Amino acid sequence: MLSMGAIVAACGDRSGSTDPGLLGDAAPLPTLPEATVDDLVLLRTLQSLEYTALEVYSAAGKTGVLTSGEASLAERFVSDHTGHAALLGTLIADAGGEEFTCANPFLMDRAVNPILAAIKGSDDAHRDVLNIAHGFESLAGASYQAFVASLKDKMLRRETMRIGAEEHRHAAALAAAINPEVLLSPIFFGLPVDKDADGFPIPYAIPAAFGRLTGIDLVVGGTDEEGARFSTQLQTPAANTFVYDYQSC
Amino acid sequence: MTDSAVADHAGFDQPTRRALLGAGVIGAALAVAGSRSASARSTGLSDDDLSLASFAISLELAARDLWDVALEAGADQQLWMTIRENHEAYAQRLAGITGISANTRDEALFSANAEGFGTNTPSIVGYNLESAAAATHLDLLGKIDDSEIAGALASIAAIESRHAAVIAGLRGESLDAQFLNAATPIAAGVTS
Repeated sequence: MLSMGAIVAACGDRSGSTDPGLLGDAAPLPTLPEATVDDLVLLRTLQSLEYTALEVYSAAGKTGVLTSGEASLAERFVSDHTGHAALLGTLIADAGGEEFTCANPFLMDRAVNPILAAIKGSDDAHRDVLNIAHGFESLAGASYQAFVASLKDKMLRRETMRIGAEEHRHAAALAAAINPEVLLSPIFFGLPVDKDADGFPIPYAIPAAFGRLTGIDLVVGGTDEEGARFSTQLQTPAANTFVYDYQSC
Repeated sequence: MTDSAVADHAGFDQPTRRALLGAGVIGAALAVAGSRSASARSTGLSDDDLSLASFAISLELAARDLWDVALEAGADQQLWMTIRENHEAYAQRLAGITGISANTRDEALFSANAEGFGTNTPSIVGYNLESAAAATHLDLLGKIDDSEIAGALASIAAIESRHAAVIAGLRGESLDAQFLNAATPIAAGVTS
């Protein structure tokens, strides 16, 4: 029979290392640089989105699937995005920062490259290219809108959202090109927003009463052996997508 | 959409835009002075922000009422009705954020443009109004401090820009007309 003292003694000594246990021999994780999200980071991120859009249109042009009218529209968008990137460069320089004159690395890795890979061998590359363009124009518009409340400088809010409004206009024109018969989202009439019979999101030139910041669904490519297509959701920039001051092209 | 929404195809005339903008200068001052409510939010909003938000609300109510004029004149397409409803929602959203009552339109803006909207083919005046409204909200972003109001104005300007682009597209206007906003902001009467 154990005495009460023995039991207490057995339970009481829990001293020792409090470090978590280590299994295996993996290298320690790298220490990330300290970074803050300020107006310059937001501007550099927006500039990276413009270069991302240019990458998307460059890839789209190489597919050769656009009609002459659509190609003219795409050329206009390329011109606009080039101008937007330059304007953002001026804003960044004026704010004492360094331009980021290349596509957003995170977005390219996690969204653009997989999307472009998925349209190889597509059953309808024309459909895919238009939907991709609409998706990225919508993303751009939403991103500018999302950053308004985060930017500290009121002048920058105004100047960046002026660009954002043009991105929304691009998206509206593309939606009208893809879905010319129905410009207004069903939500205006109290109806659900469904995908089409093949599972593709339906773009609307006027998708809601207010600019939305929700994820933008994008479905592209052909079907796999299970009948599914590549599907992703484009999100407005957050911590992983920001272009911090320590990053360079 | 093949209805009369696109039938009044005469280009975007400048007199209409000038009338809009001229009225706005006067209307802004009236709105700022007249539509403040005792229910205004008391936490954190500056007098300037409240005045600017009040102006934005009065602009949206005037826009709503101008579209009502067109609807009553026979412009009964869903697009016009939806744009009208959107403007009312914008006024209500801003009122909800600020606590300012959404009950006073920019009378001068309305009066100066009501005749032009008295048509069943309002696409030209509608384009000008939507462009001017979007330009005004974008301009307000450079003046308003409160980030919540700024976020709301951005979400409004986004869709008003789409309104203008859709109208221009339906009319077969140039890409510049679809994608660029050449409208001068309606003056708010308060400078930062």
